[in-house]
Amino acid sequence: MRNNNLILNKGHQPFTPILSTDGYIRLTLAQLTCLQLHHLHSNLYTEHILNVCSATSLTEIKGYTEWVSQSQPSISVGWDWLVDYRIGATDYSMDGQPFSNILLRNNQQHDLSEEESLTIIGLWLNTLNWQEEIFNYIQSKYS
Amino acid sequence: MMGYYMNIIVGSATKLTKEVIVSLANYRYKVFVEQLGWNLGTPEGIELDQFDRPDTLYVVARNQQKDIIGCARLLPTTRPYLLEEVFPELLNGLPPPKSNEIWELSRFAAVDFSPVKTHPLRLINSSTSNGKISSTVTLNILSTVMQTAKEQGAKRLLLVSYTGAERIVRRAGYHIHRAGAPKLDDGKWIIACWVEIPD
Repeated sequence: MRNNNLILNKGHQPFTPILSTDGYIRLTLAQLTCLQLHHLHSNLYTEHILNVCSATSLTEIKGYTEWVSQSQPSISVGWDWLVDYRIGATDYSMDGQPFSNILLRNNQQHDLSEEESLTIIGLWLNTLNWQEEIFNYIQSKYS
Repeated sequence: MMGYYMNIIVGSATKLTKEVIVSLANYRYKVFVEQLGWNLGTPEGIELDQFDRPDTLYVVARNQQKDIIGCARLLPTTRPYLLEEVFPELLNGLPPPKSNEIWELSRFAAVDFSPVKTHPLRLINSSTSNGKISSTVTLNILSTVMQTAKEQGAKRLLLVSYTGAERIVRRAGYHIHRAGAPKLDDGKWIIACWVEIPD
């Protein structure tokens, strides 16, 4: 098996994600916290691109970001974000729940509800350093 | 909020009038080619493809002036469909399903060109305080899509579209999850998602 078919992180047991016929990749919380996601792309929403480019007195911009595992099948997570320039240019926060093909399971291997699953995924994402990636991206693209 | 007149037509190509089919092809060209920039290789002003067959089901929303303000296309997965034939990689390795209970939703848009031009992705942020999209057109089209697919025996939809469409569907209150990661196709990000049809 090729190494990039594994998801390796922080000394946890490697695993290969399994795709269900309903399109979900079911993970336990322990597996979720092992995930290594890679930045796929990010962008501003169209109306914010116009504002940024025209350098108007902008207080808030919104955009989206996409992250993916290097495994096959791939795990996909995307979410909207916003940054409030009144607070600080690097203070990016998640705007709403993420979008994903992950469905989390509990320790008894029962599916969580989609709502519960997305809430936990969102909390986990906020422990990662995604803000810096987006900040750098926006800086390089629009400065 | 002012009332918004809308008439929604549902039917196959053989049931819709020629006038509606031509208007729909013009409208789709404006949305998908001119606004979203998809390179579909279609004639100027007309957007139709091999999946616009006599048995294809359409949902078409029109305003009082009979201008199209939204549309959607439904295909059974028991016959050739877009994801299966053109974008199977969006299914993340899953064999394209063939089931009476799964229909494909594509060419979904809700843009009113009449009064103020609206970018299709602009609908994403047209939220109200409760987080639901305020576009009456979008909500009505999606509701009609669900009802139409359900009448055909569908329990789930496979949506293939621009990435913003999953935001629109979720904000309309439907359960949606990704079939896989978005892919870049000719410079445009597209995605496939599963949508549960409510009971």
